[in-house]
Amino acid sequence: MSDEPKVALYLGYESVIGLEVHTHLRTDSKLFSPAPVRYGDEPNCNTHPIDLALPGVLPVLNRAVIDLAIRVGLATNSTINERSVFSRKNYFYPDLPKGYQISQYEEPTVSDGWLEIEVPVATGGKKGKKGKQGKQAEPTKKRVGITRAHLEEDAGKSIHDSALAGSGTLVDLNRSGVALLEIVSEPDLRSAAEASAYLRKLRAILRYIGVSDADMEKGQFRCDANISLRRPGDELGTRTEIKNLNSFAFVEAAINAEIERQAEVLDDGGEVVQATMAFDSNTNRTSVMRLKENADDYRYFDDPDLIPLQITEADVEAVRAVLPELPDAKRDRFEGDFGLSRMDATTLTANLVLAQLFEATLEVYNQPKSIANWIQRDVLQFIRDKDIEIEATALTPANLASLVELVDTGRLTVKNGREVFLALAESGGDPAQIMAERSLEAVQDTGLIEGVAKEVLANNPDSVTAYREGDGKVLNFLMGQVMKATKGKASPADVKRILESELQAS
Amino acid sequence: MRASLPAMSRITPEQVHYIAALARLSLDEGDVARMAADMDRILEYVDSLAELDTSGITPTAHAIELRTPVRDDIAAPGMDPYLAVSNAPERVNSAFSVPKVLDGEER
Amino acid sequence: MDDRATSLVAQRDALASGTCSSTELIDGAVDRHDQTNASLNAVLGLRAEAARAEAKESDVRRAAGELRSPIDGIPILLKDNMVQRDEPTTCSSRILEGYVSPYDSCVVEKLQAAGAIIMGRTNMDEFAMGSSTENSVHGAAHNPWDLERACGGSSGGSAASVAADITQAALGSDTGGSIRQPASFCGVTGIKPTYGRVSRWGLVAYASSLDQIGCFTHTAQDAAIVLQTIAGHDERDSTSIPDAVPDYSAALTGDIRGLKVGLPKECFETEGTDPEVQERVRAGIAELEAAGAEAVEVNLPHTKYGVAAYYLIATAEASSNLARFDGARYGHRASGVKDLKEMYERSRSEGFGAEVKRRIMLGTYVLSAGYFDAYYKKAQQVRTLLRQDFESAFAKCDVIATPTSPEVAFKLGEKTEDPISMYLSDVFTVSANLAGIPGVSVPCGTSANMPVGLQLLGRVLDEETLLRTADVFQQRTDHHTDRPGGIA
Repeated sequence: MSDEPKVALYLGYESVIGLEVHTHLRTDSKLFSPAPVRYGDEPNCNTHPIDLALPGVLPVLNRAVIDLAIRVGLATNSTINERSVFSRKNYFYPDLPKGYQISQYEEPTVSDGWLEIEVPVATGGKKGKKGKQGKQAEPTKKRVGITRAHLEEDAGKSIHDSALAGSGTLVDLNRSGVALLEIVSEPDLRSAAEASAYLRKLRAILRYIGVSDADMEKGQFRCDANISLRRPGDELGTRTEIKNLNSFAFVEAAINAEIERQAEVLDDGGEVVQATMAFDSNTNRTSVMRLKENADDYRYFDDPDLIPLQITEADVEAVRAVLPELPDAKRDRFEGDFGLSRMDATTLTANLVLAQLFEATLEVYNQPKSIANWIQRDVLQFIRDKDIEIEATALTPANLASLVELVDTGRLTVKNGREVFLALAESGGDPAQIMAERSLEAVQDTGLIEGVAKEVLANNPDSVTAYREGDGKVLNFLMGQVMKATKGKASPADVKRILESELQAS
Repeated sequence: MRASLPAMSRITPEQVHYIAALARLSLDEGDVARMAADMDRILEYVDSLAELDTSGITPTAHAIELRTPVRDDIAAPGMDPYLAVSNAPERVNSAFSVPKVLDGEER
Repeated sequence: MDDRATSLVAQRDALASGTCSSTELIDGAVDRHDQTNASLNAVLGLRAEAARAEAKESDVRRAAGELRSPIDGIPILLKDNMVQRDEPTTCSSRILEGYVSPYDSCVVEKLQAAGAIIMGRTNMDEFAMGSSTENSVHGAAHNPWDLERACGGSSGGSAASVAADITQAALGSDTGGSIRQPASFCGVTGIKPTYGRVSRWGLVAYASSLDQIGCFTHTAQDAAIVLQTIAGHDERDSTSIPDAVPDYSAALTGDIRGLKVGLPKECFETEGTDPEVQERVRAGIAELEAAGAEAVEVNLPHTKYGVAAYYLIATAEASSNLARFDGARYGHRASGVKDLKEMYERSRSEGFGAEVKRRIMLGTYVLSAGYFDAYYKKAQQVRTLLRQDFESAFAKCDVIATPTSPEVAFKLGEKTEDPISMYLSDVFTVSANLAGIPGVSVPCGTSANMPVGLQLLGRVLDEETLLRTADVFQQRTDHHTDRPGGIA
């Protein structure tokens, strides 16, 4: 294994953390029913008799999830099992209409994979620091094992809110049956920061390969954390589980709160009891929600209504052939092939659409550093200001390439180029045309600029005198005058050079 | 041929209670005794399977071999929500209504 | 009794020749129901008005020459576990009191597409768990041959309805013998097709890997027609067989010369079988030999383990399938419940009968931690052994013949105290469900004035050979024409 990053112990205990992530798969219909997958609608309007568990209904597998599961397997270096079996997990709850959930138990579709994460190095805390004050320590890489990823159906929603539900509970089965992939990590994580890094990485990959939108606010990416403590070298301690953490901030806070709680219990000479914990973000503390005296008896058995899933090598290769390049590989390639800095490459590849825009633009106009610059500076600014996705702009690889080239060749000043950019992003079009329409074309004729410079100098004798007496700042004023007279169409570099030359000449 | 079933044990009332709880059935004391006796009888009968040596035999989950049937990912319109709850013993608009969940049983 | 009432083929021909109309057939069914059902309690409810309206439409189609199928306009009954839109389905259980399905089962769709007229629903053992149709919230069904005797189960109501000529055809479901055994008790023909041959979409599940829909008729010829209508691939049922449905009627060639009939000694040497029953069955086999078939001895060594394996698998699957009946979204909810746990426990305890509760308990136990390998997994392994038994046997023969049941219909109440003795009446039928193979029971005589059934089992998807053999038998004998005496 790669060098284990040194992680601070808390009160001398090592934290052992494993994460289970439930992610909604991007499908139009549910896992075993043709009902639509939609959010926020009236209760029970996105259901089918299958989702209501009416007498006599039967499940049929949604073909699309097979492809998505294979993508996840490939993206996490996992084994994609030739044969996987759907099992019934039996328990009673109002949001589980059949009284069982169709899941996968002993034979999941994906198993034995890993993800690489980058972990910020602990500076050692009270024990002293590494490196100079303020210097960023190089993050270390760490491999986190993925035990398995399996398909299962989501449950519906129970609404306990007394304003709506009175003294009872309301049940909405719109979400019942939506396809989930449960991704289980090995207990390889050793801190809340590592946990957060793992989740961010996993989420980015899922979005990158189009498997899930992983919108945490919509509950499309939910995390359960399993935490135990031990003295380094000891056997694993008793673990507790915190369920349904649906923001990165909560995950870190909850894990840290639970580590503290367990450490205090152990330090007081007590024992950690197996339980499901709840996290209160107001008090920043965890508390017992439900004791787990015995493991729940789910009485798993192979679902007799479903046939085991067979995936062939050909199926896997077909997916591999069209799988998007993963973020890390893309970033490395951008660094290597295009000579971009690590930071630039990372920014450009953080979002798949952004990366695709970059590469497509490159194909039209092969100047990677230039284009990278425009994208990082202007494109990102634009979408941030407007709070939209890149796809919502009117930019195309062709029009962006054209603009960048116009500026690079001096036909547009940078300033005017940025104005044209705004027009392009807003409403598209041809930069050259916009340039002409708005008379923004740069003045490159040095003769013309000389003429204007001469005129400006003639009109501002005091400034000329000041310059000769050593006042350098007055040059800016004179440049400003020339720029004004040329309506900003002369490049500042040219203007400066010509003015200086005129000033020296006279 | 070693017997592979556990030694014949009487089903205890505790076991009956445990199973009944798993199955969400409530049995009064008379029922519990009767149920324990019935289950004992039946399990004694099925214990005959212990005579068979099944080592190395693959269990049959599906009598007839089939290829994985799949459905295209095309969403059909959802059913009318009021039809969905039309058989509900209790409902609030288009949501099912059930009694409250006790503390500690939340999921 | 009119000729019109003696078979589905006779009804079809009468309609075709104009001797009667569909409306008259429906009226006849209603009349016959009114005469007999008070004694039989075979039919739970007729949808007479709707049936008459549909019959009228059929007559109109016939007049316009636009028939949907050969059975357009013919009345048929459904077992009360096959859902139909806007109609009640109870599975003879209190827990489904008041339940009205918003969708149709596949078999209902197919029957309606064929123009058949669904008259209503028949009595059954609750959730198909039973062998006598005594476990019913609607009361026991009575055997038309002797009202003090059981019809067999769980499809007893459908068997009795056909025996009493309320209709000439009725659908049933068979999980461990629930079509074949009542067919033998009621003196009618009952067929369970290959597992997956008929869609289970809309059949309320008891044991998913064993359940199969089939039918009751007086003759194999009629069975071929009904099976033709209801069989076929359904993409809504993942266990549905994709193979095309052959022409079952065309398979009735009348010729079984050279057919090898396997006789498993395990089914003929059993001490539990009534000697007269054995004699009738052997006589039946002799008829087949006289028609040119050849009897060969085969072995089904694991026969005696079938019932145990069946009860482990069926109850395990049932305990899971019946978890949805919880008072939350449909059916019976106990009144005055204070919390969720109480809702579940009281609704289910009030809603389910004793046999269903027993099987749910057993099934839950079988699947529970620590017992799974010993019971459920073991039973699935025995299932493999049974499949292998049949594969070996069918290497030497084309059909296997056995008694359908070790005995004739028992008296009502006789076996209700002892679940095991009830389970044992399935000893010859359960293996077919475990192996997924098709089976048919045909009447082959009487013993103590009660019908005896001859069971034929066939290879996977070989309903044709079964029907052909049964048909030849019925051309040479007339047991299938016997009718119970006046049922008052």
